[in-house]
Amino acid sequence: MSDTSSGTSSSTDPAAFDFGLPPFDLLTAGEREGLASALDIGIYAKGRPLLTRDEPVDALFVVLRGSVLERHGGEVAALHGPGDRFDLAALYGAGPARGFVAAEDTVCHLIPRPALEAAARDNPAFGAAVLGAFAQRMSDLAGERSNREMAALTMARIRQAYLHPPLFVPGTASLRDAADAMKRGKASSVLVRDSGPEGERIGILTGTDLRDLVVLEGRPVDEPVGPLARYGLLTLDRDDLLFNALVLMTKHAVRRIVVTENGAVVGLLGQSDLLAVLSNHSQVIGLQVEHATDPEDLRRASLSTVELIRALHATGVKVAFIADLVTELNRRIFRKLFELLAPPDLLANSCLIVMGSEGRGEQLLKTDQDNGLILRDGYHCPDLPRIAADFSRHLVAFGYPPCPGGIMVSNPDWTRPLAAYKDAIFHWIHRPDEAAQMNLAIFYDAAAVAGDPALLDEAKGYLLGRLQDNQMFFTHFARPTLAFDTPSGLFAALFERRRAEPVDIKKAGIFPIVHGVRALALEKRMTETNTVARIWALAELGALDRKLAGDLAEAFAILSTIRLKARVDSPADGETGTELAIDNLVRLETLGKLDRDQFKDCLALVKSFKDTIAYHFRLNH
Amino acid sequence: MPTTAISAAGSAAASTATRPEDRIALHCEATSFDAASAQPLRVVALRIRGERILTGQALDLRPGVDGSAAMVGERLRRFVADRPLVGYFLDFSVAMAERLTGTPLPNERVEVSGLYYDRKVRSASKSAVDLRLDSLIRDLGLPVRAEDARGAALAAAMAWLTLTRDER
Repeated sequence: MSDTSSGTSSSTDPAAFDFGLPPFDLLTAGEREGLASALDIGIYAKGRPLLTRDEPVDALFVVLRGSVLERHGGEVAALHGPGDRFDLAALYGAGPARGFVAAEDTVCHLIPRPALEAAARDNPAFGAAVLGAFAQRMSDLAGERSNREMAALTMARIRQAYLHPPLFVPGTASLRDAADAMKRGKASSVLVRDSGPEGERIGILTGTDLRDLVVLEGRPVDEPVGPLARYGLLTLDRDDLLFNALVLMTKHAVRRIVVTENGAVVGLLGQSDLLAVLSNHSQVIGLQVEHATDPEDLRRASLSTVELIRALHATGVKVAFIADLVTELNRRIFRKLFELLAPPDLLANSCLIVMGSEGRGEQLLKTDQDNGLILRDGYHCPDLPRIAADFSRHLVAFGYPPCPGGIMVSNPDWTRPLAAYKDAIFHWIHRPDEAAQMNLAIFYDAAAVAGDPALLDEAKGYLLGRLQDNQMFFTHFARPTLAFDTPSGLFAALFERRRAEPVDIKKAGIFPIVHGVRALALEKRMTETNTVARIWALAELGALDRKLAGDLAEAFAILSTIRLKARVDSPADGETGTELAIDNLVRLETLGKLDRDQFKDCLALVKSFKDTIAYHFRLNH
Repeated sequence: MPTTAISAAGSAAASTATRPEDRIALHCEATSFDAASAQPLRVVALRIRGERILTGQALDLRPGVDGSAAMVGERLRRFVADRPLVGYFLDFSVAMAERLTGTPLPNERVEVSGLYYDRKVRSASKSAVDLRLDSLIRDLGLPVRAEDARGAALAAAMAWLTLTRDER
């Protein structure tokens, strides 16, 4: 009996799916097998609803036996018999909701959405036939999304840009004095404070003006600048939108504008700084860090970031921008500190890495240090233990708490030669225990900060090369995605929780996204480290549905925003207010209605994403 | 000569989202029908959720082929958890399952041949009730063939859904 050949019997197995039906006949034998193994079966007595309007649709139904009435409003819209399928529209959230009721005792095959999409991906002809009508809708959605991102970009404020400190000269200064001031201040212009008969006025004199005045017009270099400067400055307030600055510069064909705060000049905004902010939001703080000459300078720069974050958040800057900014700042601080402490030969023969959220670039506030050092094989630095200890100690002083797990440079387990890293990676992959799994996860997120990034590239290349198509491994790796409960998205459940306990937003929402996406990315051997970058790269590969990718990226942004808000708004524990509490608990009663609704939607999405991950990695077995 | 023993159907809920209404259809194939000496050869467990049989997430394992007996037992134990079991000749399948898991399974058990018998007796048939699985499938008109453990588990799940629909 055990030798029954399923191969020969399947053609007559009454429960088998009929792959002769178009468009399923387009599938290859292998694809048919894959789809067949993913099918569920539904059995409905006459009169029972198959799909109701309120029920989320998670599968495509194909009638095996019996018939199904489709109702639209009060009317019967269609009768589906054996071989008919429904309801693609509901599956993709399009069209008015309809109801489906068994017209007689009915058996259906259910193709779960992920299996349908996998088949559509593997076989484009099948995909076009079954999903074709929705392609347009999906590209429309993609359009909406880039608009939204554009909108986020246009939200940036002048405050985010690096402002050149105003360089004043009196109106009585000579042209030579002005040129000298520019040279010393490494500036391309000076502001002229001229006391005329009708009171003080402020003008500007640029390097170009100097050239024109002296070289072309032949004016003597000791002529005073007062009468030569241009007045009628273009000014904007520090809280104006950067976009307005861009518009103003374009309109007047100038390359800098004067920035004021409460009417007083606080700096100059150059066109290049503005463009730098619009393409890379890190200029604000970069220069401060670059100019540091000892760890104390760095410490001051580092402590001021908390205020910066508060200010950015208060002016409505998107959390993704803040994360970029903080990531860039932290990395510059780490790099600068390492460069200050390490001798040149150590710099040349090692790679400083940051891991976990720091590596993914999702740091919103200072969290535990997760860093390490990869040494070139054969290189030896006798002073290393002291340098490593200093590095970690300074970071603690900067406000980055030590890692409770000891994942930091001062721990010899994380400061070791490339070969030892490879051994460790081998161990993590082939003898996974709980710690190994966590190490693998955070190391996969690692980013190079200082030294020779080729060392990290090689270690990661080794990691990706060691992975085999071992489903058990990925199942094991992905399992923590489900480690924490995500409270139901139902409002009722949340309402009950309002009085009960707060929700841990990290465990319930952020971690499942981060880890689920990380597991998918690892499975695809991706090199991206940022969660949102991974999401979009997975969508590019077709490993993640575009709509789901968009929803996930947005949910991730919203949850991160709520999390940041919870921290920024939590009462300052110290009187100084220079550090923000690390608090992942969200108290729903403190959220506004809008946030609460968004939160609910996000958690519902996270829950369904967890189901997708559980399905993909077969975590329920 | 291996024997198809009886499978029971049961439903397992996802480890994260325990759904109290889930059941498991369970069926084990073994070296004989003698529960005292038989060795399990193949175990199939199907989750039943609402009116759906989650065949796409079936547990279908052969001890010694898909892992050691202990490993198969552990996966089975996780899949089943505390959910009620249904099956045909379920006591035998559960005995085999317990051999794999190494612990007694205290789960509620529903024997589909028992449900079927009750229905036939109620309909006042004069002849003896034919409780063979093939006859039961034919009589209930289930689109399935119980020719291996998977078919038997699926048949048990379908029979349970069909026989209990009025109470659900």
